[in-house]
Amino acid sequence: MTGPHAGVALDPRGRSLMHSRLAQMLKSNVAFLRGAAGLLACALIWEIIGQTGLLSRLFFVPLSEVLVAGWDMYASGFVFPHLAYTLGNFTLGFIIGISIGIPAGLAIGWNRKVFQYFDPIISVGLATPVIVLVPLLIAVFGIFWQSKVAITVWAVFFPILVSTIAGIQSVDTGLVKVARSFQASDLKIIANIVLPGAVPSLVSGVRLGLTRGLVGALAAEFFGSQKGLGYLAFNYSASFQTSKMFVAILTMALIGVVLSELIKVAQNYFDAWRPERD
Amino acid sequence: MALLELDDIEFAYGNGLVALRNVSLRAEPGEFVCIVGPSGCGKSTLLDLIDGLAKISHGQISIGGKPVFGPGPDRAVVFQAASLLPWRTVAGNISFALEATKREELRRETNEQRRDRVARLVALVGLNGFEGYFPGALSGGMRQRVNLARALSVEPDILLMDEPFANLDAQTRDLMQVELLRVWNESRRTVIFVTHSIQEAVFLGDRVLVMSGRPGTVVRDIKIDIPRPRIADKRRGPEYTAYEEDIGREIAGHVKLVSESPSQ
Repeated sequence: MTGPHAGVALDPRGRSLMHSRLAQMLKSNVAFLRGAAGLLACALIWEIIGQTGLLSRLFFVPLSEVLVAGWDMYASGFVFPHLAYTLGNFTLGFIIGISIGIPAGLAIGWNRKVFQYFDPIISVGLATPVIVLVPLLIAVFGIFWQSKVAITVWAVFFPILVSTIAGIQSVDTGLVKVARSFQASDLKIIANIVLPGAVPSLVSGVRLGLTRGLVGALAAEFFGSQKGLGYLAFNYSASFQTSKMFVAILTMALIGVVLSELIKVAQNYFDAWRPERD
Repeated sequence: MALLELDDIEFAYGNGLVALRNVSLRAEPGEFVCIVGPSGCGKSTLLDLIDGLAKISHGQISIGGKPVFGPGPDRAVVFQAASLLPWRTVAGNISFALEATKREELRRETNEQRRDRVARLVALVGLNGFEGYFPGALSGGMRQRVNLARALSVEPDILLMDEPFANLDAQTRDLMQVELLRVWNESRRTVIFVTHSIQEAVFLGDRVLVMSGRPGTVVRDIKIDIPRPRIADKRRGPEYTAYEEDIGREIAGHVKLVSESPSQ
């Protein structure tokens, strides 16, 4: 007998052992540097256009002025209560949206007939822009944080729901058959086969939910709010304090980027088994 | 008494198409029964029925005298596609069966006992050192070893094998057949082995059942009188080829009959 493994020795991630960790690190760093260069180029163009005065200073200011305004707002601590308020509402709404979206997606996606009942309702929900619901939700939940959270929940819920359903429906039926043959319970099938298989779909849903949720949390603060980054942006814009408005906008964008990166880290953790693809 | 008994079973799909008709077969404890037949004759469906994953429309399947109504711990399947959970390691895939099974004495095992059991199975199928590998990093032959170990882990009385080596290259396939006989020899479980390879069936089986085309039925039951242990080097010899030619003629005759009969 010649031994069981006909093939090249691979490490557990499926890469050849020759492929060193160093080369891997270098590659991801190059990708990072390219991304940074792109951002820097954008900043430069912003600054140049701002300095030329091509656009009215009422609506557009150079990046350097925005950074100066940002320094003031952060150094004085003025921005932090607003940041905390928006982030707090968003986080709560995001968590609620996910924790009802995923189970609801499982319940609806698991059975084809149930799915057929819900399919059109979900399409309507997904297609309705959250901004048109803001007045309604404020009417129902009041003008305080409850309505901001409710709006975020709405914005987060549908993308998560749809991606969970898609993830379940794309489950490998061969694996489910194996599990049934070994008499696995439905719960075990969901936990060990359906959910792990749905991770890529779930992650894209969570990312979409994240951006939609941020938009929702901010839009919720445009009306009748006294606090929050959305309130700041809206009011600075209305009073032509353009550089401060941009500080609020860039802060939101930064939050979006950071959270998006965190999700990537989470995805890498769940996808550790996946053979690397180039 | 036969361990496995199929008594005049019939299976029809939801659309009324009859896949299997008048199938009867018996397998004794420890017997290695191979089933060959043209593709589409319902060989794989037959295994699904024995496993309880699909319901027969007529007749009875019983194991140790008790009728089969669904999957049970007395049977385990080695699937054609290895169907391993890609997010679980070799050891994790084997223990998946142990976590899922309804066999009481296995459910009661402590984590340590389970780990030992998995380690023994890994060694049995010759995968020492690969416990921590994910399926994506394994060759086709190695995946089928895991597939086999997973099925053996629940200590089934009957091992149902659905063309497990069909997707392997010729050398690996020959090797896996020898390996399977070695593993089988240690435990002597009843094996129902479906294949479309006549050579494979003759080399492995105590008996070879030949099935006809749709609706599939068993047309011949041939006892392979070649002593064990079967030696890989002799498998191209006259003892084997005589059986292979006999079975080949049988199948060819039925394929012809099917193609000449008016299509439905």
